[in-house]
Amino acid sequence: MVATGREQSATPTPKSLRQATYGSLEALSPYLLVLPVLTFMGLFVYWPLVYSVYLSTLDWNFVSPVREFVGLENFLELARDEAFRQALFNTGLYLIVLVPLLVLLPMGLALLLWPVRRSRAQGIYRAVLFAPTVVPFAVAAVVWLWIFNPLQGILTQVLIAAGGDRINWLQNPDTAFWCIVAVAAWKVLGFNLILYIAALESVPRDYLDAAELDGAGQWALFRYVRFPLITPTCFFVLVTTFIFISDEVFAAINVLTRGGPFGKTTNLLYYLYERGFESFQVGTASATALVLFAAVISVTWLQFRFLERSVHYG
Amino acid sequence: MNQQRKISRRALLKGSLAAAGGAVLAPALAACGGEGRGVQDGVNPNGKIAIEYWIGVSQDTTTAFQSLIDEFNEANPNVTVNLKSYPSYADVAQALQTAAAARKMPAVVGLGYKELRYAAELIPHANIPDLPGFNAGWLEQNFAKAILDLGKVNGTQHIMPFLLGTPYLFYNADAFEQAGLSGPPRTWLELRDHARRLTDEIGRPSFSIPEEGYMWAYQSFIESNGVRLLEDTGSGYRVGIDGAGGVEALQLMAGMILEDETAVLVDDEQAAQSFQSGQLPLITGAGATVRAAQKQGNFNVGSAPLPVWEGKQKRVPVAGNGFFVPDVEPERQAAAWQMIEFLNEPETLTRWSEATGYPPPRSGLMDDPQYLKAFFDENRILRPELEQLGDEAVPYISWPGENGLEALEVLVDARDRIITDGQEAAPTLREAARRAEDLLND
Repeated sequence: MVATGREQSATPTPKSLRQATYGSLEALSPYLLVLPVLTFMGLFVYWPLVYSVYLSTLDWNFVSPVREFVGLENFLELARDEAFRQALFNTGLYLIVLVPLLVLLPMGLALLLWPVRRSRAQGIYRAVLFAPTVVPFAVAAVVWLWIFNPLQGILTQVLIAAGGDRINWLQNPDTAFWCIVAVAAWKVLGFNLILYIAALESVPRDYLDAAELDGAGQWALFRYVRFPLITPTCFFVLVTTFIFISDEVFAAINVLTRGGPFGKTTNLLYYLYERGFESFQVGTASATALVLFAAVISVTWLQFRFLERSVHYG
Repeated sequence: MNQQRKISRRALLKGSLAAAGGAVLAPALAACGGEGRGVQDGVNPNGKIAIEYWIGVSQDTTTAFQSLIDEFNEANPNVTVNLKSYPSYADVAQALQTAAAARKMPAVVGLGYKELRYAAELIPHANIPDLPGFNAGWLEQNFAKAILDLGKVNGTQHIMPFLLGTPYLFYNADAFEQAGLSGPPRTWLELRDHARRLTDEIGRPSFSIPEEGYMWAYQSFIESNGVRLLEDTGSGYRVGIDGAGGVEALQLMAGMILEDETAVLVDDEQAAQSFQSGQLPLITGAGATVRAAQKQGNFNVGSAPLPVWEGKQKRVPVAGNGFFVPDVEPERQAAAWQMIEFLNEPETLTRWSEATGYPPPRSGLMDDPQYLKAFFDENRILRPELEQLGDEAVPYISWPGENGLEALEVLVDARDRIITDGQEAAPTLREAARRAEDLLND
């Protein structure tokens, strides 16, 4: 019998036991490393989602000891509620207006700022355009209320100086929606702009030089070199703007119009806030949250399914 | 080489386990450190009782409260009251709801009268007469029935009223003089004429009831014309805004805004900006607005009671907040009552009124030379509020049930459709009243 050195001893030695323990722990180490993040996400993202499904089947106010199970009645109630339908319609309208605006306008601005990227003015431009992102809405609200003040606001003064009539911007159903659009766009524009500027700066100089040597003009450089290489950023901006723009619109609604005039500016998130945190209709608010979640996840899936194929990851 | 890689993996594994353990233990260790105040909320082992008092008022009023609380804490070594400030009454109500769900309620809350029904129905609490140390005789002797009624639902005292405010008229006396107006309007129809003359003088809208999203002065405006926004018939709720008086009132306002262009519906903040800068000479509001305008000193500020409808009984809703004591341990409830009694002593109320301009809830102090007569004689601009706390005072409507706020929203929308969008008043109000009733009686 040839000794192969692999024979196991009858009882494990302390050294082999230690090695086996460390082997098991090494296998577990990746899971231990991600455990804190998973725990956090489980507690603050996935568990609330599951719990919302349960809450959406109840008629409850968080305080009463009686929780009445109503099944899908809350969802049916939403379908019957005119205020919900108005909020749903407005949400769609906000997305149709704001998503293209906040995907394309920052890109255009980034291209305009590109020629001055080496100058001292670049820092000033970036600071001015990014500042709204970091200004809290509660602070900005006072300024915006003054801007939209129908008696003395700057917009009114300009309009009257130009020979126009006084407009009650936030109370007029024809203008209030566009005021919210303007404020939400003002808040998000800078962040998307910075992303585009970073993406443009990451385009390898070699590609641009080679294209210029081949006689490419500015448009051709953008169309065939820059744009394909920044499509990952474009896609990221598109997806994140779609997902998060409702938050910014909510903040603008909350400080400027509170959903009025007569529901013309409300969105699903504000409707959810009113039902859940003012009227304490937990079931209705949870049902609204699930509808919103389903809509967002569906559109995001469609974006990944049909648009991601156009993204050039290099 | 393998030995070196195993050693570095071992070190990495040890480090990971240490980091994971630290991440788990750190919050627990931080919690053990406590809040650093020396006295934990509740009954402490040394017998000292600490309670939290939640309020949602302006910064100036919070400062006044803090000053009185500091006096109380100094005078009562066995009790510590910690004041916790929120931006508004609605924020206090939301926080209270959350605290009730978590079973961690404060000992006393400054609850808005508008939130009275919701809190009385939904939040576990102690009625005022059930509080340890309560003296029924003291309450009846020192507080008017109309004031106590602000904190009652169906005869039960859920809130001990404290801060009282009524909406009244503020005007730019210099602008009035320029427009040739001798004084404020007495009736709503006179107000329309005043607004026309002011607008002719200044070339822009001159009046506003700045109540976007709610109805306070509007409650007076409508109910003083002989209708009741909300009535409990015993078998359900009735919304009466579509009565002849309601239609007439909103038609008047629509005429001022859309035809005369002498009035405008704006936000509170916009109205305050415009009034204080002299751009909007006549508004309704609370005392805080006039005090801010006086501080700026741009013009002479005048005040007057809200107008009346000729020949009809005026009704003025009293807003503000009172002490609401949630269902907590008896020791904390007793400490809360101790604080409530202190804040309602004549000397304390005198300092309160002088600091804030708000009338005291306790009877007899405003006309007593020992307490507040001199102050209110000197500050005549505050008199309209005091006058309106008499027979005209009614509770600010607390919309009942879980659909109460939605019902109010329906009425506010109807109001806005009429006065800013020109929709016909009678059918709009009729539909809104029925929808609101359906919500309230659901």
